[in-house]
Amino acid sequence: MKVKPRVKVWLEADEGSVMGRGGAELLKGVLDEGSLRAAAERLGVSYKYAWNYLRKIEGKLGVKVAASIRGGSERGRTVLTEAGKLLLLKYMRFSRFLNNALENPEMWEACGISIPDKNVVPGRVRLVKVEGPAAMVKVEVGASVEIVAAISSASADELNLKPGDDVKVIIKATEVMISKEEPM
Amino acid sequence: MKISARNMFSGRIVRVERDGALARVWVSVENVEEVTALVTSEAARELELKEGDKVEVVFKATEVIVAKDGG
Repeated sequence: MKVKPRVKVWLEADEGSVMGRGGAELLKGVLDEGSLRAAAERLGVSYKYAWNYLRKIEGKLGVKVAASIRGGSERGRTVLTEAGKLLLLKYMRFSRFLNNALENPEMWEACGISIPDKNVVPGRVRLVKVEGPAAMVKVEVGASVEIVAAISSASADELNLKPGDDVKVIIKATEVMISKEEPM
Repeated sequence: MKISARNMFSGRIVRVERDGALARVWVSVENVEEVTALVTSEAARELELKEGDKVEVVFKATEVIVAKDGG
């Protein structure tokens, strides 16, 4: 099974969901094209749908995000208001941050989810000793080989670790030291 | 020398691979699969690590992650 994690970003106000990716693309379209009709075309939605979407965003926020310019040579144009630009910027920031986090192996490592250059050794729990905030876990990984792990009591609790459990012990390769006797 | 690390296993180096500032060392530990250590090339040079060397792999208990399937 090969799966990949994804995130969806949307902005929320007290009144509920303001906009998700579709809304952000619509705002971006208006910003680029200067026209709601062109923005709707770009997204492959009807003008009416796009218009309603903008009104929905404005209803939730209580401010205008796009304004139509009438008259003069600029007739029929739609532009983003300052509030609209700010909203788009916020969305893009959040979404960039989360997507960067997804692509960043160090973030995954920090969560203990994915570790490059690791040693994974299957074993069986022999002992769990919880003492205050820390727990000492002894795992038998081979005949007469036992690995000692000091983990948080919370983790031991979360994993419901008990003797007899089949587990994997993971040790980052950078945390392994090599000791060698000096030649006599 | 006494050492506080709770995990210490004797083994034999099966391969050393230098890659710039880091060196990857594979150690075969009896009754266990191979253990990989990523050390600085400087350390590998200083200890003259090479295939066949009898060494010990050492790591602290606090650096060990325990994972269990199905929580």
